[in-house]
Amino acid sequence: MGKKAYWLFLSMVLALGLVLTACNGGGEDVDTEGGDDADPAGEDEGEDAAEDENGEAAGEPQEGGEIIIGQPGEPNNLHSAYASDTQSTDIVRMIHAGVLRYNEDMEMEPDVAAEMPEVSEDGLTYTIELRDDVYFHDGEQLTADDVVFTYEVFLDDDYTGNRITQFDRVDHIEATDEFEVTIELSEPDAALEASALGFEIMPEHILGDVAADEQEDHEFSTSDAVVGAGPLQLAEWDHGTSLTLEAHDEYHGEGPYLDTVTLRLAEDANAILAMLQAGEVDHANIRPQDLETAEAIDGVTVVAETGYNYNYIGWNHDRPPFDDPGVRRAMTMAIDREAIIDGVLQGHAEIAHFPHHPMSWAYSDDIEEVPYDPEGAVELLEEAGFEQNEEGQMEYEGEPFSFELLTNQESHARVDWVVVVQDMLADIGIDVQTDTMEFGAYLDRIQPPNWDFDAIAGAWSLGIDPDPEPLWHSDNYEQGQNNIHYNSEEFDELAEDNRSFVDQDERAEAIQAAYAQVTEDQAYTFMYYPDIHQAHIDEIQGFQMSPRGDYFRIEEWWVEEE
Amino acid sequence: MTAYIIRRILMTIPILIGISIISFGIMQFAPGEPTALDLDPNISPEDREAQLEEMGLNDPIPVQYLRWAGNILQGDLGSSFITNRDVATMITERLPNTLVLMITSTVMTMVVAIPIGIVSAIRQYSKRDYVFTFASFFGVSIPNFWLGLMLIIFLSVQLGWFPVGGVGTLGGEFNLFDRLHHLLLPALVLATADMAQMTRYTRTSMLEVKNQDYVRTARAKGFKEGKVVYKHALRNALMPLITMFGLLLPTFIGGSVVVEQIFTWPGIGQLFLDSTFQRDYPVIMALTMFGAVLVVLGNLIADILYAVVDPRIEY
Amino acid sequence: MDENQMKQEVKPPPQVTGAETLGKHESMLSIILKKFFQNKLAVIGLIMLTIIISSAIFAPWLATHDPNATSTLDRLAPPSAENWLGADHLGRDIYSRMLYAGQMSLWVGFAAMLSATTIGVVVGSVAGYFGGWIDGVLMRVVDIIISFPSIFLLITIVSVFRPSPEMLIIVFAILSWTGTARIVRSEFLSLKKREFVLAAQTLGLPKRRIIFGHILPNAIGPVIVAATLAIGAFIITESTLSFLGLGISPPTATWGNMLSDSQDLTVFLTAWYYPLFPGLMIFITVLSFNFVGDGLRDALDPRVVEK
Repeated sequence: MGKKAYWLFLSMVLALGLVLTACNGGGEDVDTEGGDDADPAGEDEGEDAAEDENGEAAGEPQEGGEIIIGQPGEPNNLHSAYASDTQSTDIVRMIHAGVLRYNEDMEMEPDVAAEMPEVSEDGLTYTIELRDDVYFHDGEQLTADDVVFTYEVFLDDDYTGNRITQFDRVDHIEATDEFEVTIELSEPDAALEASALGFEIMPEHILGDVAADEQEDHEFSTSDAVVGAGPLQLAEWDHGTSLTLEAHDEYHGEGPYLDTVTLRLAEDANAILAMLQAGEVDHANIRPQDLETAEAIDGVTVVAETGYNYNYIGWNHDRPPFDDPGVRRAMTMAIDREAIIDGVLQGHAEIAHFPHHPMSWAYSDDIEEVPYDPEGAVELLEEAGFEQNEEGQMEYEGEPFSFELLTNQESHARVDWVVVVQDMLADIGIDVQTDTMEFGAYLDRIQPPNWDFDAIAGAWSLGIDPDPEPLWHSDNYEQGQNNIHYNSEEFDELAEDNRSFVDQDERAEAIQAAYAQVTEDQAYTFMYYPDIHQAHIDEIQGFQMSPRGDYFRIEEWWVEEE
Repeated sequence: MTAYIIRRILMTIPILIGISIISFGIMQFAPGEPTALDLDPNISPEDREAQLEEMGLNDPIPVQYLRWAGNILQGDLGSSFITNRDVATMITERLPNTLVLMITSTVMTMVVAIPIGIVSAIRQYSKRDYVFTFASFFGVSIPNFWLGLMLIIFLSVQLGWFPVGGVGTLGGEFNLFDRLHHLLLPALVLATADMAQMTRYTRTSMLEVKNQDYVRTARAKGFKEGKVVYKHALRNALMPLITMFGLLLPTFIGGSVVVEQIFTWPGIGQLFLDSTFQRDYPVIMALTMFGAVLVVLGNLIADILYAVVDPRIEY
Repeated sequence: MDENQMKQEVKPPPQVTGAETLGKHESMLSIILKKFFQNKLAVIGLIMLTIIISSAIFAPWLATHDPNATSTLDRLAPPSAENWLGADHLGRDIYSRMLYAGQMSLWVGFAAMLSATTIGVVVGSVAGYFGGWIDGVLMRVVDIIISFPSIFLLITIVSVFRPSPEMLIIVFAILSWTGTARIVRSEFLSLKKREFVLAAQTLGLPKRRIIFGHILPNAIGPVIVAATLAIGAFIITESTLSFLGLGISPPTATWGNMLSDSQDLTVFLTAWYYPLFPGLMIFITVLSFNFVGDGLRDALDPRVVEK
């Protein structure tokens, strides 16, 4: 089935999974959970009109029933501080509950918290009131101690997970009452709610005595011994086959209506599609190329959303000629992104011009859009000292323009568009070799301390907080995610301390100015925001979907009995 | 005989050592840190170094090898880099699925290949022989992922005769019929190539025996042809097949990687593939080692059986 | 390709003693050829291989399109006057791509076969001729390599290194020479005590000449058969690796990566020609190698009586 069977990674989902992994490998601080309480950037235009499917219209939710979901791969860890791949984080979100959670507009809203945190004038003190009706699956009540315990794992010197930066401005955390937590910061952090406070709360009564670095391997994190305060509890984990989740009867929010949710493991996108078609699963993620097949299945509805991620080409600014913004711009102009979206993704994507997602409050339409213009690209290259020889080959002082475009093999779509880009650049006389590597080897080549690439085709899964520094600040070259070595004093100045603006409008302005600089310099060639699709049988009501492509608000789904 | 068996067993020791060195060695050539997927580029080189140190990856390679081999001898296969689970547990929970698949395929292979091979040999150059010969070539020449996917699409998705994948219906009680229903297609695909080879082998083996003196003698003595074939020829022709199974074992294990992938069959082949893509070295090394040991044992048993059954063998 | 050439070197099989051999040389060869050409399947295989191999060699003249030129508008276009066998998921012409893919697939198959056979013949000859501890060590190495389920090693090695064509050839060769080595060794063990070898030794001929000039030609029959079958097996293995995502990187076409690119439920249901043609190409090629290999086996084996 999918050749890149890997399984792991075939599909869009898989692609997504990877993207997230990329982010992890790359540090989830760009990314990670959480959003911000700001105005939404509005609905995205999911095609295939599935909005009408969204529950409400179909009447009162019914209790009971079970569904089977096609799950692309096994979770690796069920501890919120250690889960890092999509398979894990998707399941962590069902089992556990956080202080805040994101909604369909990618904004934060209270979950275990009674209301949004109270922030002091100076932005240094966050006071969080918790609900007093939240219980873990084993019946213990969730209190301020559990929240403090969870956050302190991240602050522990022995913590071995990936997310440290989210908490780097936290000075200390304290339970000021049974249901009140106070967080003191060393300097204001506008990203706190969208990043740190989104992490799910772990039970202190179970893990309290386990050292921070041992929690990762603890049976709590790797087996059905896991206990959370989320809507579903893990009843059985049959490795390689399925995970069975059951309703948490004392769940504090709406639902859960379903009695049982079974995640059927199938790493191969073809297998999942075949199971959907054969009626063996009730819900599945669908790759864009399989959309028509899925839509043609009787009794199945496909819902679309713009994915909260983008694909890009990153140019190595340390390797000429990509140190020249003009050359990078020429590359962008020579690539017909519209054609790639139509041809490779069958139109299920949107061109990306901005370094963050259109749904984010930090997004601005007022950004330069670099058009497809191959002649313009040639002119720009000529300005940079290139010329086309008689055979049409682009040369710089007699040397042919030739470079290697590297990508990882797990995302089908990306491997495909890389081939198309190769062909498009050949049209203006640029010789591109492509190399498709296994993900680990790919990361190893492109990350510090190797930086061994001319250009990479990659994807970032976006964080709800739009902080631009991790990817592009020059400080993040030696260690960090600025592996392309974008080195712009203007950008650094514009982006620095955006997290310190407590006022969101001011912060948005700062971020947009910084992003405008990135676009002007074409640090990346931004490719597109892919759509994501989920299919489910018509009996599932109350279905909701987030741009994350996870099992969003599964506690509110219900099954209509005939 | 006992001396032969002991010698044969002793001979496997250097082989096992060689296998362990190769299993271990390959990972040493791997470019990049095994922890690349796990490490955050945001951490400082010192912390990265500390993490490598803690995992014992900075020790000299022979030290790492001895530690690894020592642990394996004690039955400790280590724990996964990715899931932190005990590797031995990961293997044992999937092994039954793979064994069921392999045994079923083996039975299918024997049931189909041996009779066909015999008929082909007895009626050499007949129409039937040509048909069977052609069919068996068909089996070795078709990529089995292609065959598998076609079977799923036509028999499972279009016609709905078989489940798409998995070892059994989820959530139900154990049900033998349901299990067999799930087993049939994957076992068939896994068996295809070997059936073909086995048919050819049986045929050749039969042809050889058919013309040997004692068979001719039996025939000359006026035994009925059927009796000649089954009593004299067949017994001798099938002996080498025991060895053949030893040789086929690696292809079954290898084939399970593809078949398990296509039919979402949670066995060790699938585990192996998952692990390679995640660079989960402890699992890869353990499984490579495990597969090879299984083959060595398979061959050992086949050789010993052969020695027991065939009186002609000298010790 | 070089079967004919190699056949020239085929000397009489072991049953015939040295003295008789000299006189009957021509007739032995003609008997072999006659036996081979009597086998209908083998002849069909040979004809098909000739066509397939020439189509790969002459790909640049036969192709109608640049095999790597994408055309997003022609995604999965059905067979037509423009794309004779349709277009793939990136709009590349399947017919042209298949011709070039043939070059790569056959090259990998032949090169891996030649390397594996060379290693196998050398190791097998040395082990068989010298015997003793040399034999012991070499055969243990063979035992070790043969014990690994080769797909495990292949997957591991290929996932660790980059799957370039040269890489695949080397890995295939390293993992596949053992069969040949065993065959050659056992032929040597039975041949080295024969009169013509003893005679050569008595005459004081150098070891190298005895091995390669006298014994080896007598052992070459089974080696040729194994080599022929191996090419087919390599082509299948390459496609399997592609299917697992470990094949030769795009955009270089091989039959294997074309077929595995098309292994997609939606493609099967909407564009049958895409999986069909590369699949058939692999199937027919491997089938032909098997036909020819089997025909050679019968022809070279004196025990197989003529019909």
